[in-house]
Amino acid sequence: MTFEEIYSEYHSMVYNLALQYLQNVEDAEEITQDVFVKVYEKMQGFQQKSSLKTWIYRIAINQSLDHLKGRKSQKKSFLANIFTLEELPLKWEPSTFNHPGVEMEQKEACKKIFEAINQLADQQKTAIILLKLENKSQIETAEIMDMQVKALESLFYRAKNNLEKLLKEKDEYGKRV
Amino acid sequence: MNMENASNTNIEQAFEKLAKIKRVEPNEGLYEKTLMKIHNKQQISILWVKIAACLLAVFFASEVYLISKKEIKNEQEVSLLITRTNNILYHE
Repeated sequence: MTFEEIYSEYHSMVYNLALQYLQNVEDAEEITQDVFVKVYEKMQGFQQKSSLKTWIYRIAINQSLDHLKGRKSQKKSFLANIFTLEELPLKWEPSTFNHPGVEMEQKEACKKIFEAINQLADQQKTAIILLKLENKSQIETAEIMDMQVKALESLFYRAKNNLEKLLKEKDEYGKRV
Repeated sequence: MNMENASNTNIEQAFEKLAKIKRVEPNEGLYEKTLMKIHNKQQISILWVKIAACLLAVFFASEVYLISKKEIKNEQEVSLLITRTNNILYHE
């Protein structure tokens, strides 16, 4: 398979996955470019231990999470410089919520759900995104995340509970304000 | 209003909302941008190789220069140690 064929087969998948993580068109485009730069650099060494699709999925997930971490550390160092506080509970939020897949009337509700998803730990976030946004099966998700199906089930259970708590907190906060 | 808040807290309804998100196609120029990024990255890596080669060349040249300078100095020092025979006969 040539690079052009790989790109035309998987670019939409990578772009949509990046959008679920970052909820911003510019960031998703940057991630898509970076993922395919990595694919280009490493495709000769790809050992086919997993399918090409799974491999690209993993690169896209890691790239998206690294992007989020990069943003968090930028924010943290800036605030640490001003207040000299090392441990600040920071969560990443997109500069502008710009998810083109979300319909106008659902925008506010989806924004709130994504804000809660963004507060989850990386593994839990990935489980929710793959299972509920990408509609992957448990077997596929477990393969992408390189874990047993049982482990994925308990991870998803924890993610769901945490998300529910976060959404409730957001609702209670919304009622108070 | 209460029903709206209740629906927000319901995780299953939240998942339903997420499931309604449509898949979108990226900008058509993204492939060209990706190729450009690959090209730029290759150019940058070649540039770094050139810079590293230049630095190595400068390092070796300076080493050779310093060693040769030292050798000359050493030669002078050694020549001072060698006793020079004075062939002038004073009572001639």
